[in-house]
Amino acid sequence: MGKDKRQDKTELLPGTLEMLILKSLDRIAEPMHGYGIALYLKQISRDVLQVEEGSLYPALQRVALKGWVKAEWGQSENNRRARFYKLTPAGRRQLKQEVADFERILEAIMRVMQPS
Amino acid sequence: MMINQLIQLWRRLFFYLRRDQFDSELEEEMKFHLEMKAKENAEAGMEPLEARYAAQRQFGNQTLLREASREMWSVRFIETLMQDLRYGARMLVKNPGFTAIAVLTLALGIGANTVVFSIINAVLFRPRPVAEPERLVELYSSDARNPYGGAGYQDYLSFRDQGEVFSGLAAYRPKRFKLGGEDGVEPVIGEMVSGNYFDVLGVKAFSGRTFLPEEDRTPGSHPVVVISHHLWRWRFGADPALIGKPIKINNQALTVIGVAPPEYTGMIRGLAAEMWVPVMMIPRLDDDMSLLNSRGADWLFIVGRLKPEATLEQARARFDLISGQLRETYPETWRKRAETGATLEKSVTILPESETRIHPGEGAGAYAFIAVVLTIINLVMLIACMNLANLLLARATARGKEMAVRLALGAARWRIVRQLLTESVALAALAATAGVLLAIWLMNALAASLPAFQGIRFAIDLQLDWRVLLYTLAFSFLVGLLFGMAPALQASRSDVIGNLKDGANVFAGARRQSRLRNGLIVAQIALSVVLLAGAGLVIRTLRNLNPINQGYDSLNLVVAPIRLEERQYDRARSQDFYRRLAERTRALPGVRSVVFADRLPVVRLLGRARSPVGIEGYQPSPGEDMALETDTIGPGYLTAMNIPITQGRDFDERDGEDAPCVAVVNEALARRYFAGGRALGKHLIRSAGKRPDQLCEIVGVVRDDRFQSLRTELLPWYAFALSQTHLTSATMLVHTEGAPHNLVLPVRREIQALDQTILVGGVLTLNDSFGPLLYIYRLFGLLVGGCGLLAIILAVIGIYGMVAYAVSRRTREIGIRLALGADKQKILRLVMRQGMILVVYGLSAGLLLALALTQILTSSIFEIPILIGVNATDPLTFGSTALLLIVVALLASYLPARRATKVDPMVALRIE
Repeated sequence: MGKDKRQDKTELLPGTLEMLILKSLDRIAEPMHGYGIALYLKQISRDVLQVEEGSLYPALQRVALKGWVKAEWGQSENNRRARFYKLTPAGRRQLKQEVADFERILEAIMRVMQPS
Repeated sequence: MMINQLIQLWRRLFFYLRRDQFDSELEEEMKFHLEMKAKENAEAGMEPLEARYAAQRQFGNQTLLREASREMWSVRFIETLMQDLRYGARMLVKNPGFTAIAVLTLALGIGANTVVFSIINAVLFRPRPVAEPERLVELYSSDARNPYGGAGYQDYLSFRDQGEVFSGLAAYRPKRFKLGGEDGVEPVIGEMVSGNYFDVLGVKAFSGRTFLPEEDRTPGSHPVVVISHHLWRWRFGADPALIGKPIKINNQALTVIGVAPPEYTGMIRGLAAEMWVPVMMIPRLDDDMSLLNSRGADWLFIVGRLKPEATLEQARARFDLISGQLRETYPETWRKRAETGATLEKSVTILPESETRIHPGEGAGAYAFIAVVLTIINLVMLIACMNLANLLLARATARGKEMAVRLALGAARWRIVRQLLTESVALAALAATAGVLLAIWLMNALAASLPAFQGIRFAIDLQLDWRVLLYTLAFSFLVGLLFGMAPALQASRSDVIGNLKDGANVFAGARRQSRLRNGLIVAQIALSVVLLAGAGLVIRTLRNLNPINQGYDSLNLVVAPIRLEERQYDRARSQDFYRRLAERTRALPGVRSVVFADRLPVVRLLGRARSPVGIEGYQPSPGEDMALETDTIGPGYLTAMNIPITQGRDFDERDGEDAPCVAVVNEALARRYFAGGRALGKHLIRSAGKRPDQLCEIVGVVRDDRFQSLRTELLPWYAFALSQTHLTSATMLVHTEGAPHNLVLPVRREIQALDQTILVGGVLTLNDSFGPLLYIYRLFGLLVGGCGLLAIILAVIGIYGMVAYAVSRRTREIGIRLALGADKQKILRLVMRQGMILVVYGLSAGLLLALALTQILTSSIFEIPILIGVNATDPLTFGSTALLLIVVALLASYLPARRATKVDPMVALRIE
C-alpha cells in the first residue's frame, strides 16, 4: 500500500482525522489549504500527528462531500493558486457532535486503563 | 437524515458531470502541496533537488491518493455497473453473429409473450372505459342451477327502487338488431339499456346527448337511439348532421340523439356494441310486451354504481334483505320448482366490476386455451434459453484463461458472476426492445386482419400500457438471468491453476461441465419433440378441416342458414316456408338439388348434437346414457350427400307432417341395439315434450363413413325427418352444377322474396362458410407450426454446436488417431455417435413427454375441440416427428464431424 517507514507512526482511531480537520479549521478561524492543515496538526501536536497526504486529501474530500467544509480556490501567501477549505455552519454543528462523542469514548477508555 | 443522503447523492451525481475538472483541480492541489513541502525541506537545509525528491517520497503514492479521493465521490454500484455494461457491450459487438442469432430468437419469444399478455391484459386487467370503475358492481340473480343469471325487468325495477346503497342502477342486454339501409338489411350488435345506463356508467356522449329519464318510461313512446362512434364513422361517414335524423332499425324509425365516445364499446368485453336503444322500445322492435311485463324472464344484466359512502358488504346485506322480501311476495318466480322437484330459491349475487370482465362462471375454456398458447410459446423460449446457455458455456470455457487471471488477481467470484450476468441481461434487454417492436407490429397485423362475421365485431384494445411493458421488462430480465446463470456460475468456478498453465486444459471441472451441456442438449431435443408432435397434430387437424377431406369433395354447395322469427312462424307456416323455398330454389338455373338439414356443415364439425331416444325392444340398463348423436334432415338429403344407404331408403316426400313418423339410423346403431343388425322395420321411440311418445319406423340404414363423422370411432347415430319436426332454424344446402359462387346471390334473392326480414348475409359457398372457423384454426396452426419450426432450427444449432465443440476439444486425439492410421470413416462414426446418443435420449424422453402432454389437447375444458379427426397419440404424427428429428440430427452432426476427418494430423498434434 506504499506506506513509508517512519518512526513512531501513530495510528489514529477511524473517523478522528475528520474531527481533527474540522477542529483545525475552527481554530485557524480562516480558510486554509490542505498543506496548511497538515502543518498545523503537526505543529500543535508537537510532531506526534503527522498526517499522510494519502489520508488527508481523501478525508478532505469526504468532509466536503458531506457538506461540513466548503472548498474555494484562492491565492496562497506566496501568490500561488491553492484550494482553501472553510468550515460551514453544518460543519460546526458536526464538530460539536464529534467532540462530544470523542470525549465520551476517551473517558470510557480511560476508565478501562485506570490502575485500579 | 434522509435529506442529507439525498443531498450527498446529488453532489455525487454532480461529480460525474465534472469529472475532468475534478481531476485537474486535484492535480493542481497536489502540486501545490508538493511545492510547499519542497520549500520546507529546502528551508530545513536540503539541496533544492534533494528537497524536491524528499518531498515526493514523503508525499507517497500519488495515484493511490487520486483514486482514494475519487472514490469518495463515486457511487460504487453505478461505477461497476457502467464498467460491466461497457465490457458486456464490447463482447457482444465482437461476436456479431452470435449476438444477432441470440437477439433474434429471444426477440421472437419475448415478442410473442408480450402479444399474449397484451391480450390477457386487454381482456382481464384493464378496467372498462367508464368513470371510476372501482365503484361499479354487477348484480346477478342466482339459484342452485345458475349462479350468474340475468334478472327480469320487473325485478330490475324492484332492485332499482329499493337499492338505497346505489346512486344508480342500470340494466342492459346485448341484442342483434337489423339495421336498414338502401342496400338491404345488415345485422348489427347493440344493447337494450335502461334510460340511466350512460349516467350510471359515467359515459358522456361524444356528440349529441344520452337518454333523458322520460325516454325510458312508457313503452314505445320515444323511438331514440345512441350509436357507437365506430358506426357513426364507418356507416354514416361521421356525418355531423346525423344527430336528430332517423335510422331504420328492425324496420322501425329511431332518431339518433347522440354518438358514444370512441373508446366505449359496450359492457361486454371484446364484443363491440354499435347502438344503444331504450328498453322501452322492445315492444316496437320485437312486437312483444312479455319481456317487460314478466318477472320471470331473466334477460337483463344489471350494473350499479355504489354511493361514495357505501361498501360492497352493505350492498350485499341490503340485497339479501330485498331478495328475502321478493321471495315472500313473488314465490312463483323467486321460489321455482325445477323438473326434478327441488325448489330453486333465487337470491342476488353482487360482484365488483373487476370480477365481471369475463362473465363469471364462464371463460374456463378461454383460460385453458390461453394457458396452452403460453405454454407453447414458452417452451420455445426455454429451448432458446438452453441453446444460449450452451453457447455461453462453450464460450466460458474459451474464456477460461481470462477468468483464471482475474481470479488470481483477487477478483471476487460474485463480481465475475455479476459481470457475466450483466452481459446476458444486456442481451436480453436488447432482445426485449426488438421483441416489443415485433409485438407492436404483430398486434397491428392481427387487429387489421380480424374478420368481422355476420355483424359481430371484435373490439379488443390491444394498446401497450404500463402493465404490459412492466411484464415484458420483468420477463426479459428473468430470461437473461435464466440463460446466463449456468455459464456465469460455471465461469466463476474456473480452475485457476489448470487454466493458467499452457496446454490442454480439460479434466476435473470439465466433466461436470460437459454433463451440464449434454443435459441441456437432451432437454432441448425433448422439448423440440413435444412442439413438433403438437405441430404435427394441429397440421393434421387443419387438413381435416378442409371441406374436401370431410367428404364434400365432389359437391359444389351453397349453404344457406335460415332463421325464422319464432313468433311469426308456427309449425305449419315454417314447413310451408321450407317447401316453397325449395321449389323456388330448384327452379334456379344451375341448381342440381336442394336439401335441408338442421345444422350447418361447419357447425356439425364442432358440435355433437345428442338427444335421448328410446329403442324398440331394447331395455337400457340403469344409468346408461341413451343420448345418441342425431341430426334432423330433409327429404333427399342422404342421396344428395352421397351417403351410402345399405338398407331401405332415404327420406322423401311421403314422409310429411301427417304421415307416420320415420327415422334413419347408421350401421353402428343397428349393430349395437338390434339383434343381427336388422334394424329395418323396427322402431325408435321419440319423445317430444308435451306430445305423447311416437313410434318411428326405421326406413333406412346408412353406412358410416368419413362424411358422417370425422371422429376416430364410430358412434350410433339416428335422424328424424325435418318435415316431422318443428324447426324455425334450418340450413338449406344447394347443389350446383358449376361453381357455386354464381348462385349465392340468386339464392339470397329467393329467400328475401319469400320473407324480407330474414338475414341472408350467412348464405355462402361451403368453403366460405368455413372461413371463420378456419381462421381461428389457421392462426393457431401458424403459431404451433412456427414454434415447431423454430424448435427444430434451435435443436439443429444446438446439436451442430455441441458436435463442433466436441471436435475442437478432441482435435489432438483425432490427430493422433489419424496419424496412427485410423480409418476416416471410423473417426466419423465415433464423433457422430457421441451426438446421436444424446439425440436418442432426448427423443425417447421427448416422445414420452409428448404423449402425456398432447392428451391435454383433447380435454373437454376447451369449448371447441382443438384436435379434429386425429387422436392425441396418432402414430403417424409421432412417427414422422421422430423420423424428422433423427434425420435432422444426423445431418447436424455429420457436417462438423466431417470436418474432423479433414484434420491434418500434423497440425492437430501441434495444437496446444
